[in-house]
Amino acid sequence: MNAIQMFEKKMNEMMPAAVTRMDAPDNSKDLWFLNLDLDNHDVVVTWSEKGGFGLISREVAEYGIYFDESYERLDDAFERALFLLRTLGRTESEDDTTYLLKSPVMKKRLVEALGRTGGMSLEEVRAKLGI
Amino acid sequence: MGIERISKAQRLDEFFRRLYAAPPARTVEEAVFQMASVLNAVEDEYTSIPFDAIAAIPANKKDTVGRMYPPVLESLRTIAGQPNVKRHRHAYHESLIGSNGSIQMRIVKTGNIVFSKAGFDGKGVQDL
Repeated sequence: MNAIQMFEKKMNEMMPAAVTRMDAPDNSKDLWFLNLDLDNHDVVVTWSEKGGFGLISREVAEYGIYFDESYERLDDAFERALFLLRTLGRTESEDDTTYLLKSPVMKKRLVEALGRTGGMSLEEVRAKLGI
Repeated sequence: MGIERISKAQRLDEFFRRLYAAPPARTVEEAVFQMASVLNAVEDEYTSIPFDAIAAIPANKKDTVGRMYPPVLESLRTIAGQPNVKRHRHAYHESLIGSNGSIQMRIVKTGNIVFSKAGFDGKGVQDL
């Protein structure tokens, strides 16, 4: 059982009212999708061995994208998905930015961006987070 | 951060318009190539967000930073009972591509078709 299959199992145990639908790739190393639906509120979970977990939940179904938020650990992705389902939350909203800023992972990323000379600057991180 | 000169919805409309107007593809490979070249042209023309070859591969799971990315040949999925149709999955959409070059894009949750184009023989994905 891989990490997203474990995620689905955990979701079925913790929130049995949520309907889960796995979309497995032909090649197990490719991107997996898990659709979560609680009372018509959707969260899409993605996972690959190489890239870890991704989450997306938007008002409008946009074409050509895979995820909004990225998580390395199953527990972090799971906690966030539960939050989105329970609060009818969306990724890329102001409330969700607040949530993300409380996240130790996101805090660490912002701190790492301070004083960085290569890669993404703090200004770029702030612009992406809308703060 | 790149600049989006028109909204993503408007760019998607333009993608659909140009893809529909293009000559029908003859194979899955040709259809995927056509989708990629048309969408990338629209995104290059109407945004300043550069194409990222790493973000274009779904398994890399890299942020697409506002740019739309087309289906990728290597990530096509088979469909049980439909050997002549391949499928590419995005978060909200899936593209069905027929062995005759036909293309259909639909919303995963509802199954609503948002784009449809016949292949070289005049048949659509639903006919295969």
